[in-house]
Amino acid sequence: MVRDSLEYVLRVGALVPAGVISAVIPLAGRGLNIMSDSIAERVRRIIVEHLGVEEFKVTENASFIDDLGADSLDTVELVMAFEEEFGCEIPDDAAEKILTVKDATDFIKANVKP
Amino acid sequence: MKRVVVTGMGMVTPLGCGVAINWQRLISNMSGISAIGHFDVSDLPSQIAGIVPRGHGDGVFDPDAFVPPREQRRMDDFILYALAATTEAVEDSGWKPEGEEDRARTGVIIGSGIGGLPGIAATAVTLERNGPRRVSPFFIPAALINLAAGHVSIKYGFTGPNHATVTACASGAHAIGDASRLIMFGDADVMIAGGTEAAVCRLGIAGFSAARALSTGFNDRPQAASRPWDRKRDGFVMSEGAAILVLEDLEHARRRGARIYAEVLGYGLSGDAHHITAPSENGHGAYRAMANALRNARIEPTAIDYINAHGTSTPLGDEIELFAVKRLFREHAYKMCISSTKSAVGHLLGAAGATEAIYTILAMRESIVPPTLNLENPAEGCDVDLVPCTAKKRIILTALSNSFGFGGTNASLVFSARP
Repeated sequence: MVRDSLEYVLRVGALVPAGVISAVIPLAGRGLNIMSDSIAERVRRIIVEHLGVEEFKVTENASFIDDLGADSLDTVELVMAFEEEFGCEIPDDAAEKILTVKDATDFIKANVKP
Repeated sequence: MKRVVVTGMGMVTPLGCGVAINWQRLISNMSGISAIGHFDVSDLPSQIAGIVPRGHGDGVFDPDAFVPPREQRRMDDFILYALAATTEAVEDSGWKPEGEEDRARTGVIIGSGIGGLPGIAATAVTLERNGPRRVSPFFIPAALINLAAGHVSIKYGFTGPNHATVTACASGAHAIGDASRLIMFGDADVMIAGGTEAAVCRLGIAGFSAARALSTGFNDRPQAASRPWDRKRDGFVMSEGAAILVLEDLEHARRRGARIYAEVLGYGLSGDAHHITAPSENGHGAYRAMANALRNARIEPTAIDYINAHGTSTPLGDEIELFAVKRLFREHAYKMCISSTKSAVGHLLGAAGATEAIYTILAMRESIVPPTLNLENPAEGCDVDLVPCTAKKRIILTALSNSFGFGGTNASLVFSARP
């Protein structure tokens, strides 16, 4: 259920500004953790900005390198951008495992206090 | 030994984006120097520069037209300018390598004096303020001088010799000279060669100001600041931009029916072995660079119709160069034209030699000598035809272009109009 909703948000996100989505979600009343959705949104926004890709391509399972055209330097910069956005430190060994959009969202949800 | 010709040209300078607009403005006696507005200059002694005009439209540099915005983060402006000038030059030459072999026979030498100085300055601040984890992974490849040539090779798939000259203000001329030799010796059939620079930032201005190299007395009249050989000159004006030539084996160019702009007839190099920033008083380094270029071209001094001088508008350098010219050319120095196009575009440092090579070639093709702007009262001994203030008509069959750099490095190129 949660996952379906997330995918819905991701798809809708391509068409609707982030502000509208966060307004819609609570009304949908699906019991989603609003905080975690906003993390996913912020992660997606950073990816779109840094990799210059279209929003609809940034699906949950998209790989930075295989699907979004990133190279190894881009992924380093992405991790730096996540650190900056969420005020956290992502150690190198953890950063190496962040290969997809979901990896990034999961790591931040697990390690960043709301 | 193979003969080398110029088959394509591209440039981005303070006078505009593109060779045609540059030439039109240059021979209309226009200046590209202006007050610096994109960073704080209130505490800097020199507050003017030659800045590439940005925006949209004809003759204006639009970075997005050459490099996707996302890619722009990977490069400092000197690489961006090099890619823009290369795009124009390669299109102009019509050279489209079809196969692997053609690409392997096409190389790149793009020089720069300083490379990514704005990025180095900004990243040093980031490091001190925010620590090493905030230093971008793109910082080093964005700043390295040879990455201009690297990016060009990646964009076009040119897998021939890939190289960069770093000889301060002679970098662009050395790139053209060295690239010609690679073709002469058979290492490549086509070379993309030239120079690029984008060091007009607080650190760049502060550094050259500290070395007492820049004009400081014309902050209120920027267009009057670059005035080679004039009595009131007080230093050079820092500029930015890039100029790229497509050099080619003459036979290769003929086989594909390419338009030939000029032949690279001679190349001469020398070192002053004198001082880190000042030229040697007797001008011997300049003299030997020119003499070597003439010998290499197998021509007499009397064959030269025009010299595009290094002429930076510094109190010391201009007269020393002219003294060397007079010593080498003797009475012929009074029969040819000598001008400094730095009076119009300022000093593009590592891009200067290539910028001036293009202006020199166009002067030959169009039979117009570009002027030395602001030369109102020539200094003592500056009694030859320095083409003051206004362009003039003259048939030019053979011309020489000088470039001298800090550290006492000198390069002279000889071009002829008809191969």
